[in-house]
Amino acid sequence: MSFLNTLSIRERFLISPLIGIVLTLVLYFAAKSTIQSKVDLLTELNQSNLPLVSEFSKSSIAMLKLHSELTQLLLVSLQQPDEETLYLGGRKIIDQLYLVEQNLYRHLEKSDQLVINQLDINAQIKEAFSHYKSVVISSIELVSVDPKEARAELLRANELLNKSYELLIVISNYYIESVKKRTLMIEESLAGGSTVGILTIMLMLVMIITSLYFARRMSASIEIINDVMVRLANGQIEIDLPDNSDKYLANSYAAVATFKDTLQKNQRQQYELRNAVAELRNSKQRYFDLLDINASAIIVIDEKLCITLFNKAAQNIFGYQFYEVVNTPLFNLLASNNASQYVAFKKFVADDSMQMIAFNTEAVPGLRKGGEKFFLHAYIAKQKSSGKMLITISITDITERLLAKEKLLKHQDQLEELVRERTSELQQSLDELRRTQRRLIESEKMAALGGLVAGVAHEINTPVGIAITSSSQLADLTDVIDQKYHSGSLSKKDLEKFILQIQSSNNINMLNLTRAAGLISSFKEISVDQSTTEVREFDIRKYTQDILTSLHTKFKSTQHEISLECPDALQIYNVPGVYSQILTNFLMNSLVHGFEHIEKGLIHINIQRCGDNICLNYTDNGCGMSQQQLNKIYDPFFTSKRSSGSTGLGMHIVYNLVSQKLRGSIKCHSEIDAGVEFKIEFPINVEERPQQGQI
Amino acid sequence: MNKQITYLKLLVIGCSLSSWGLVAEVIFDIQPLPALINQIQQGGHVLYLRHAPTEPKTTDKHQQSVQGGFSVNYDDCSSQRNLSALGREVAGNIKRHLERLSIPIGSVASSPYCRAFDTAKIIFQQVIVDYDLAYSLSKDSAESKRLGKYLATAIHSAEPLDSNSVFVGHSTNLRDGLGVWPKPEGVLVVFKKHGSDLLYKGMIVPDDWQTIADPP
Repeated sequence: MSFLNTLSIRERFLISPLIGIVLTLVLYFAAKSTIQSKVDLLTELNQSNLPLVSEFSKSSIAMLKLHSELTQLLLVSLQQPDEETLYLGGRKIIDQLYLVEQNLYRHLEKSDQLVINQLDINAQIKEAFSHYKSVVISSIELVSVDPKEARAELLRANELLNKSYELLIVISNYYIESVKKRTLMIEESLAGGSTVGILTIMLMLVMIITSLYFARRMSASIEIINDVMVRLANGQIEIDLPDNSDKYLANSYAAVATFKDTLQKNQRQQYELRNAVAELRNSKQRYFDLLDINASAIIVIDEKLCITLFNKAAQNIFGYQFYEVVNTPLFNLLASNNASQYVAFKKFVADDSMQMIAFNTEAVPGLRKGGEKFFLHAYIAKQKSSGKMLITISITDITERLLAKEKLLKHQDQLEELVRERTSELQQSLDELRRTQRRLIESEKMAALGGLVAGVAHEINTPVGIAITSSSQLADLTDVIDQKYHSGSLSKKDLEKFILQIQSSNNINMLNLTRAAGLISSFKEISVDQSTTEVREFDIRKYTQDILTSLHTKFKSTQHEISLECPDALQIYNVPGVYSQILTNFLMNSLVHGFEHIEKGLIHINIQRCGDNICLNYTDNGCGMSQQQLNKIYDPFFTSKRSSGSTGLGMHIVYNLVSQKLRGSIKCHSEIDAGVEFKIEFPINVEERPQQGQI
Repeated sequence: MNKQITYLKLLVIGCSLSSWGLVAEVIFDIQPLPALINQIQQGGHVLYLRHAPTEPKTTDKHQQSVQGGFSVNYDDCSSQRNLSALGREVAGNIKRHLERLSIPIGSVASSPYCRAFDTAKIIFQQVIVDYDLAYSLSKDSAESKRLGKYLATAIHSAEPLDSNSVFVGHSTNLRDGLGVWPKPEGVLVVFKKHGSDLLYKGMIVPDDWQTIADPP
């Protein structure tokens, strides 16, 4: 926004006169300055050059006078050569000479530094006068001593005086020339008074240009507004409005913009109105088209309940053409008036608060053109348009639907009968399946027990075999001793050796039989536990070691290692048989499945007390399981070794035992080639825990 | 009585001289030559000796322009008007007669000009140069008056007892300071301090010396 635009209209009209005043002041001061410069020139002329010329003339006259007095003194000396008289006269001349010199030098200081023919005139005058003064003083000095010599000095003084005069004439001429030049300048300056005239003309031109400029600037915005208004009035709406940078014409610009917006809005509204009318027409046509293509019959009746609209579907249903039913009562199309339906319809028509009513719960009997009766559902909507009531009835022919429904009901009855039969068969199959499962579980248990028995037999076989061998050897020795005894060849030495052998055999037998007894005791306990679900207190560490011992035969032919980590004397009150089955299952799974292709597997069993529970962590570094296998691990009959005789019930049984018998929980984590990890948590005291969920 | 009349007359003369711009009053008490010689033989006087006769047809070459006017180059006697042969003879005579007459000489001050200093050296040997005793002719009015006043003050201030104080200088300085024109060159002017007054007792020209008989 320019400065001009920040001014009000009145202030803008004041700009030109103000500029005129300023320019007039400029003219006034310019003229005054010109006159003052002339005055200054005249003053300078009056104050400097002319007085200098005058002073130099005075100095010349004074010098001439003193020289004349000196000459007079010399003449006196010739007639009256008294030293004192001559000195006194000379003293006056010398004093005057110094004064003249002082005066001359003072004016030379004021004078310009004149260099003529590369000679400093002022310096030359000083030098010549100084020389002249020296000669005059010498002349006065001599005047009382030798008047003739004094006269000779006077002649020299004459020459120096002339020289000084000539120089003073030079400098006087210079100043006279300077005066002439200045005078000429003043004359020219005065003659050149036209400068003020030229300045006046220029200022007038500036005023005219300024006035034209501001007039144009002030009228420009108004002309733009006027032009825009005329063009808008002529219908040229699509024009660009000028930028509004004028603060005081902002309302005018805003009015033009509003005018343009109004015109554009009107034009848009007209266009929209035309479009709306066309759209309405199209919409109406589409409405009728929709009515005609609608599968439902649409009938519109007026307040007198006479038909005003009857679409194609209605024509198809009822068999009438539109012209046959228009303005005829609606009830002509009904077979009979159901009392309740009729009352409801009448109430709907009379009640302004009701907008819609449906007759879709009961079939309404309709009447086709040929007198054929059929059934329909009707949805009736009411609306007021231009003060008139219009009732739109949407009719659906449900005759076929009713027939189909009737057929469907028959099919449904048949299906229900079939389902009952199938359900009974399925229940029988399910029962058989459960029995089979129980048998399999029992078989699995028996198989496990069988395996245990086989292992036990194998373990016991060694100590018993040793005992038998030892006893057999002892029997042989006994026979030998008996023969020697009866033959009388039995020596004391033989008897002592026999006794030592008896003791040795006895020791061997005791040792191995004790071991066998211990094994049997352990196996008995486990085998008994495995076949029962008795709850009792047991040392879980010791019991776990017994289980590992019972499975020793399975692992001893392999390089697999089993490590147990469990605190001592950790007594629990739970079902040891179940615990044994679970752990046996884990170990056998690791052996059979996990370490199938692994020579040296590692199994680690970690048992810890965690609060009131036992936390058992079983891990191996076997082949592990995929996520898919992991998802099905507890499913019954899931096994990857069915061809090898596995039933797929092991982990299913483990899950049931943990959750139902131990009343604990089990989690399994495994990845392919990353081993398997089971985490079991069950209560130390099983009777204090409520039973958890089961499969 | 006659003596008082003479004082009165000389006082009038001195006062009239003061109109010339003198700086101190001088009472003329002119004494006859024998009495004058006799008095200065007693000491207690101030003697002003104008330099001895100089070379005719020569002047000072005023080579230097100084404050108050021109000045010669004191170190260059060749640029000055110097003693003539006669002048040196006159100076020698004065020396001889001063010794002959047993006139006691105290301090001797001389102008720096060669003609004055040479005169003083010939006659008195022991000389002090006083630059304010320089020749006043080439000076402007103010400087010449200052030099005259200086000389007058110096003579007024000198109060010798058994000997005589001597100033060797130029004619114009004495004229400017005390209104007495010493004439001719080589003349000896005698002053005597009397209370606050200065008595001018007369002059002894060079030719007078030989007329004075030896002291008894």
